[in-house]
This record gives sequence, structure tokens and C-alpha cells, in this order.
Amino acid sequence: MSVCPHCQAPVVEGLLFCEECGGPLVPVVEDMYTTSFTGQLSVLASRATLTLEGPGRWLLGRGRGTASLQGATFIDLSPYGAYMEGVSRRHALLEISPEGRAYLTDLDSSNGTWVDHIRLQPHRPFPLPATARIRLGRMVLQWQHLSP
Amino acid sequence: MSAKDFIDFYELLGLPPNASREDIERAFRTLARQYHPDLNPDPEAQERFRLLVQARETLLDTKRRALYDQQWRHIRGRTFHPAPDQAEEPTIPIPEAPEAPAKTTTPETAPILEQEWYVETLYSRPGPVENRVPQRFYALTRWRPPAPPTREPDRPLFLCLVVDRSTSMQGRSLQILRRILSQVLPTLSHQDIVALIAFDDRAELLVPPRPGNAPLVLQVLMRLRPQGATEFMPPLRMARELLERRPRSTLPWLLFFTDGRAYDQPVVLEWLPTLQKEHILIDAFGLGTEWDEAFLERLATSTGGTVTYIHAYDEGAKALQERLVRLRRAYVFAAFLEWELPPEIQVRTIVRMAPDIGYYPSGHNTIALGPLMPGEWWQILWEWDIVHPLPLHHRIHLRSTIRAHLPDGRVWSHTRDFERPVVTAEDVRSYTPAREVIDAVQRLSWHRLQEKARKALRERRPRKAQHYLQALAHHLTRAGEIQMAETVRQELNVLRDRATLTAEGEKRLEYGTRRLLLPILRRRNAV
Repeated sequence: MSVCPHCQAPVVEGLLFCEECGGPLVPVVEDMYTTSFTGQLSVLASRATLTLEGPGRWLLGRGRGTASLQGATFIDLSPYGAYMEGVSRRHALLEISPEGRAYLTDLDSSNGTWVDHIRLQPHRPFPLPATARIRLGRMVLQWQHLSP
Repeated sequence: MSAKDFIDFYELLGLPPNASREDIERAFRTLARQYHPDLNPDPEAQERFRLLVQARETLLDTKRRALYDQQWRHIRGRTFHPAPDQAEEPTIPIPEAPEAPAKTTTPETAPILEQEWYVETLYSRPGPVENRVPQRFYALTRWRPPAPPTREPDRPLFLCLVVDRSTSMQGRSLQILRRILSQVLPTLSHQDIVALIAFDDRAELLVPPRPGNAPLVLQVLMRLRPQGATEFMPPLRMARELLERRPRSTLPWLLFFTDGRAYDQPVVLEWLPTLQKEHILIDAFGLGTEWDEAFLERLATSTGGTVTYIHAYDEGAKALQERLVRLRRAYVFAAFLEWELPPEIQVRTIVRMAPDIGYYPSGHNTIALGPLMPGEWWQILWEWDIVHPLPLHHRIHLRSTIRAHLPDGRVWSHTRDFERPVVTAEDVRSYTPAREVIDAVQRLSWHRLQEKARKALRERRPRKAQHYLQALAHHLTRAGEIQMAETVRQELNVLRDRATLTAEGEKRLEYGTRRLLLPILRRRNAV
């Protein structure tokens, strides 16, 4: 296209927003700034499933009341045998950003965190693909992006 | 002692073997109340009480406890099941090598975990379109150096406050400055070193650098009387001398406060490479409306710092406090990004969006990235102009290198080659870039719109300026940026009434739209 569909001003090839009126030249999701990211975390061995709606932060760990992180909802994995599976009290942080991207950060856990066989470096947010196999110590979780 | 004669004191007290003395005391007191002979006539209770006393005596005595624990481990160790809530999870020997090869994803979005640097690049298109000139192309890069091997303790800071005390600072500007620093200086520790330099057309070292002298600096500031004209070179030179002599483990941080301009600005700009070489971080604070944006911008960005517009005291304080916390934990003090571009590409804009904002002047091929705290990364938005028509089977190659300087003098260097194929118009017709790219470029476009509005005003075209501001307000509202949209509408009203903007209005537009480049969570605390 060589003119802006909103204001008819000529536009340079490759522009994403018109420089005269600021209108988008690529499809911009209308609700880009509203929060409707849903993901699902399942504990494979027990088939338990959690649906998480973003944006938000969730601390994956074990032991009610002994672990916390400001601004994050605590997900206690001890009912699923977290202790024997080597899950630390503060094992990993799952974040869904307002821009709609999911990240997993290992919180320097004793036994490590893996995403699809890639071991995470501590404190480095790792972007999660739409489907991923997450391992906390020996506990395997399945991550699935549901919508949008 | 045989296993069956052995009395497990920990079990008796209901505690794990690594219980603290407080835990033991507390447990004893609670149980003693239950089993004390005066309160409990049951003969079994008496026996129990006797054992509790014995337990307490043994476990609260260091030597006796050590001996007891040895026995305990010998007799009980193998059968111990700690309460999972309290215990450390067992360390499971897990092989270092991955069990299966990593899944490959499209090269455009997969983060590359090469050599421990985390580098990720997103583009506006799979590649530039063949034979189209002029053409715009965007790239969003994220860089993070290897994390420090051990969690390091917070570093003491060496702050050099350089404060304008010229006559114009009288009144509101100095008041705001005092309020900001009176909120921030008390949060410094006795290990932080602060120096205060005040300047008009000369520079004066009002408080020499010493650990723990933040309260003194605040006192002196409260008594400061504005006078004189303004020159920037003397105080900056003095600051540099002080910073050269700082303890090597501290981060050299120069905070520059001014409300106006100085005739020796060009001299300062020429001298900047010296400060750059010494990795001095300069954060510039503009008070009021008369200061030179372009100059403070150059001053700050050449060292990887940031410019803050202060028109209300509470905003400045929050931003400064947040920065203090970040700089204490910085594990990279200074970093430089340099690149080589092929002749067909020119950099139109380069903006640092994370961890804080920097608008770099064009025309160089090196920029200072500033310090980094663990967990942060540098995010750069590039806007390129393709200036030569490109044939279809061509590939564009760029090479960029980051040099990260660590406090102990080491330099970590990482070179990354970017490569993109030239594509057909058909290939990009329905292509949508990644959300982050769209988001970043959109924010840049907002900043551009107000720039265009102000430029139109300078060209005496107030109607055109209105058009741009109207478009800006509209897009900000749709994007949910209500506060900034409101600011823009206010300025639009002023513009309609007076065919001009106030100086303060211009600064609010400029720095308000800049602030929107920060990721949302950080923006709440920043100016």
C-alpha cells in the first residue's frame, strides 16, 4: 500500500503506523491493552489442571505459608508430591505480561527448571511457547496457551 | 546407647533436628504448660515433663547438643522424614545434558542461549521488500549478559550531586529540588558516599565525599542561596575529579540538576567522550521549563543515563528512589553497543526502552547502554531506512557488539550477526509482526506525533499542530492511556485558545510520551 487507509496520506513502504495520523498500517488487535490471556498448567502425573488468566504472576512452589513473593499468587504443588519430586519452596515464577506474553523464571531452585528440555538459568525470564513441557525438579507440568 | 533406650528429644518437642534455640524454647514452654506437675496430676505427665526438662537442657547447651545430635544422627538419621514444609527438598542428581534435543522454532523469535548471553531479536517483517526505496524496517533487540555467578551483596554508591545554584533556581525550582532530595537522601546507608557540588559561573565543593554523609548534604542544601550566572564545565570537571578518586567497587554516579542553559554547552559536549571512557553514569534532571532538552539528552545518553523532567516534586522522588535501588544491585556498570551496517541501511532512530529510556542522537555507530541489575535486560528499538533498492536474492548483514564493563574491571563482550533475506511484496502482504514490535513502534509513533505538532508550531502552523495533537489524543484514548490523553487534550485547549503552547506544556508532551515507552509495570514509579 502506498497511502494510509485512514487519512490517505502517502506512506513509506514498511511503516507500521502512519506518520501523519498515527493510524495503524498493520492489523492491531483492538483489545491489545485489555487483558485476556488464558493459559493452562497441568500436573501430568495427577492430571490436575489450573487455568490462569493474565496478566499476572504466579509463584510455583511448595508449602503453604512458607513461600511468598510480592505481587504473585502462590501455587502450592505439595498436594502433587512436590517434596519428593524435588520442587523447592520458591521454585519458579510464571508471569503473563500485559502485552500477552508468558514467561517462566527459575528462582534459583535446588533442582532446576526445564522448558522443553532447555534448562533455565536462574532469574532469567524465559518466554514460553504456546505449548511447553515444564519440569520443576522431577515434576512435569504441561503448559498450554488457550486464548486469545 | 542402644536405639531403644534412646530418647528422641526432637520428637518429644515436636521439632525438626535443625530447630533453632528460639524454636526449642518456645516448644518447651508450650509443652511445659501442658505437662507441668502443678497443672497436670497425671503421673505420665510428670514423666513427660521430666523428659522435656532434660531435652531443653541438652539442646540449649551447645556442646551437649553437638554430642546429642551425633548420637541422634547415628540412631535416627536413616529413618528421618522431615516435615516437608520445613525441610529442604532432596537434591536429585539430574544429568546436566538435556534428555532430548531442543525443539527448534522459527529463527525470528527463538531466544538464542549462546555463550550464556541471552539475545532475542524481533523484526517488523521477515525481510526488506525487493526494489522498494525508500523503505522502513524495524527491529527490537533484547540483550542480557551472563548472570553473575553468585548473588552479590548490594553495592555502596558514590553519588556526586551537581546542583545549579544560579539565580534562576530561586523559588520553585530550588524548593522542588530540596523536597525531592529530602525524600531520597535519608534512604541512603552509612556506606553510601555523597558529594555535593554547587555551581553558578563557578563550581564549589560544598560537601566532600565521605561515607555516610547524606544527612550533611541535605543540611547544606537546605541552606543554599541562589546567585550568579550559569556555566556547566566547571562543576562537571570538578565532579569528574572526585569520581576518579572513588573506591573502585562503587558505581560512579553523577546526578546533574539544572533549570536552565549555559553558553558553554558545546564545550561540554566535546568533552563528553572523557566521561564516557571513565564509565561515569550521568542522570540529568531538568527543573522547570527553560533547560535545553537536546543538551541534557546528549549529556545523559552518552553515558547510558536518563533525562528526567521534574515539574512536581513527588514524581522526581519516586523515580530517583527506584533508580537508587537498581544501581545498588547493578552487576554491569557501563556497557556500549556498537554496530556495522551495510551501505543500503541507515539508522533513522535508535531508542533504548529498557531498563530505562534513552533517546540516542543519530549519526553515531556506538551508544552507551547504562547499568544493568540482575534480571534486567537492555531493549533497543531500531528504525532503519533502506536507502538502496535491493535485489531479491540479496541478504542484509549487520554486525553488532556489546561490551559490558563489570565492577572488577572485566569486560564481557558479545558479537551478534543479524541477517535478513530480501523478500517479495507478496511475502509481506498479510504479515503481522510480533506484538512487542507493534507495541514498541506504536509508542514511538505517539512520541513522533507530538514532535510533529511542536515542529508545526515553530513553523507557525497552529492548525496543523492541532491536527497532530488531536490524532495523538485519539490514539492514546483507544490504547487506554487515559492520563496522557488528558494531558494532550489540555494542551490542545491551550493551543486552540492561544495558537501556541506553554513552555511547560511542550515539556509535558515530550516527556509524557517518552515515559510511555517503558514497560507498564515499571512506568508506575517512573517519571
